Amino acid sequence: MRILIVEDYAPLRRSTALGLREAGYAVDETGDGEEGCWYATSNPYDVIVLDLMLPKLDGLSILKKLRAGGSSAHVLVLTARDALEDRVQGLNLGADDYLVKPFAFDELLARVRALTRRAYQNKNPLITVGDLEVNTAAKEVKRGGVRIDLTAREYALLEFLAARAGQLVTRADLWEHCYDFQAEAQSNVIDVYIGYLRRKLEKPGQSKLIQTRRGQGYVLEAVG
Amino acid sequence: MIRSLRARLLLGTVGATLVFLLAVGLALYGLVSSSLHNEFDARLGSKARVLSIMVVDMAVEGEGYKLVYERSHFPEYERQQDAEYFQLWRSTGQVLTRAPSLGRADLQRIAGVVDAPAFRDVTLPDGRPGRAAGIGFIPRREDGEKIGADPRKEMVLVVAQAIEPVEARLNRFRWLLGGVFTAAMLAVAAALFGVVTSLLRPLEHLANRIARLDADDLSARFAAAYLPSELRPVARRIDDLLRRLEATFAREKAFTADVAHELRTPLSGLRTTLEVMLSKPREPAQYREALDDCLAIANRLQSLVDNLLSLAQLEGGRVELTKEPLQLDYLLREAWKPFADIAAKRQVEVVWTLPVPVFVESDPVKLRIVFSNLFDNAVSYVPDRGTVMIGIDGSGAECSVGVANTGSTLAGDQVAQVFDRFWRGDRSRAIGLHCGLGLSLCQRIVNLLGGAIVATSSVGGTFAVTVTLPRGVLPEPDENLTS
Repeated sequence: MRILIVEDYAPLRRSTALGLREAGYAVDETGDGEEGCWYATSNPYDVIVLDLMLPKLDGLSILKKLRAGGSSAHVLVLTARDALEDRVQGLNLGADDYLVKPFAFDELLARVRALTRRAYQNKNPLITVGDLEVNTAAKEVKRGGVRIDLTAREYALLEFLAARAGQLVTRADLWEHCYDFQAEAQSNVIDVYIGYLRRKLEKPGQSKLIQTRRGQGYVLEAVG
Repeated sequence: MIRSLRARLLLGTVGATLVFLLAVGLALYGLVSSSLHNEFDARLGSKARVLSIMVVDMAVEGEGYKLVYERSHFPEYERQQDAEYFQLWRSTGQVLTRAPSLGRADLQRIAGVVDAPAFRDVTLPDGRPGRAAGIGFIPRREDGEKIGADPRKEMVLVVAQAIEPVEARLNRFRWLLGGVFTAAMLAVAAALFGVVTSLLRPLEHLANRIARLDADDLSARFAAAYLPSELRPVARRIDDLLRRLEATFAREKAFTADVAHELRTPLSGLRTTLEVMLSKPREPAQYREALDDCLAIANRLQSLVDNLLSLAQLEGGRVELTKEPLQLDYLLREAWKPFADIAAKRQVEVVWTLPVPVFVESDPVKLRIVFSNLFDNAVSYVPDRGTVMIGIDGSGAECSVGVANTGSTLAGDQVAQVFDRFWRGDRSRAIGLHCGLGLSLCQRIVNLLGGAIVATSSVGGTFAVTVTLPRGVLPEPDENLTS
């Protein structure tokens, strides 16, 4: 899941980005409206956390441009103004959710998760593939009822695959949605993490879950 | 003093009508009364003349004077009930004859001439109030020949009659007048009450509408066309007042919203930083970085609150100036100290132009706030490796302090607005979390100190604020001070 934060107040932006990264999201951040608009239109973000008052280009204008360009990214608007008309205007322009500053970080996280679930048309936080259970709300993974501990990055990859269970997911998709601009640009980083995931998910004697389509990508499905 | 307009209007108009009607009534009554009395007197006089003609000198027949008349033609002198009276005297005072109704009683003897009888109010023998008319005359002779004027032959005739019929008619007239008067008064009072009530209804209506006014909604206006023209100026004034109140309230609301906004953003940073830091154990370096951030945010919040408080005090007029002679260049250097580190960290070049020590009489605490705010702005908005210029011009009658920074993002026509509370550089953002209030505060303080503050700017060029201060009253130059 890749997230963009556009917020001009640096301490808030830094800590929000840190918190979201630690929750397993790939996060890009900027404090400038024009740059934020460029990021948002040129990358397939799952969720955009957007402040309304920004230098150069305000949040509502970014939202307008995004929607005019047909972007389907889910937008969570942050604002220090809680006047009703501000809220209505934001939602009318295509914001998906609204959070008034100051907010509890846990609430921001919960709303971002709700939006990412919505991004895959999945209201249910529990995704089941064969005997694999992925709880996207608790970020918990179980196989055959046994809990499996994953790192944030491993979990992000698995959740992305699980949300598209049975569908082909290319390396490029995985790269775009699970890695931000700060990530180490190694072409085999995806393969390395898929390897880690397999080692944890597919214990000896268990069936394979992550199927490789040579030259194309991966599919998460229970075979047999 | 009657407070009610309605009561005053009613009392005034009813009172005036009352006086007017009374005057008219009295005049009318007097007129009618005197004409009735005159008419009565005239009739009484005629009766006396008629009787006097019937007194004849029978001297030729040796019978002397005699009142000759057909008694049946004059029943009024015969009867006892509702009688009329006459009495005839010789010039010697001897009573010649009396009306039968008079019996042996006497009338008062009064005498006028034939054409102008003498009249007098009398009490009739039967006790009724009456009126008497008396004439002195010389009777005609039996043979019709006129006798020359001979006072010895003059006779006096007095007729008297009850005044009752006149009184009765006057009485009726009084009742009529009183009735008409009362009816008219009632009608006038009722009409006036109705008129006054309907006149005052718009006032009541206006009062009710004003009573329904609410501080939350001041959009109501009263100067509508239906108001009487006398009330319209009042309504217009109320509307003006409402307009001013509404503008003030709107400004205050906007200000409160702005304050909330300016406080919320740093608070939000503080909260999120702390929450994320607490979410799991971390390295000491990470904690240190977060604490540095939190400290910076707390400082920002404090300066915002300080500025807010100062501004509130200035606007509330609760501020006292303590003016004293001070060295301006020294004050500037002191105020710069907290910003020197930040400027150095961002490699900002600082250019000082302080030619000679400059003295003014002013309030050092207030000036310090002004300079701190100006420096804060300059350091916040100058780009890295930019230049901040600080200078004093003490050559003129007043002295001015200039603080400027390169890398301005403001156009020249936007620059006057930087003194508005929480003005935003462009619509999309606060020009600065601290500066939005800072320059507004500076302007108020400088104005209070009797000076002026001006800002100039060009996009990509220099943003400069110049504070001009009066020198004030300074003591004679002192060697110790200048050293």
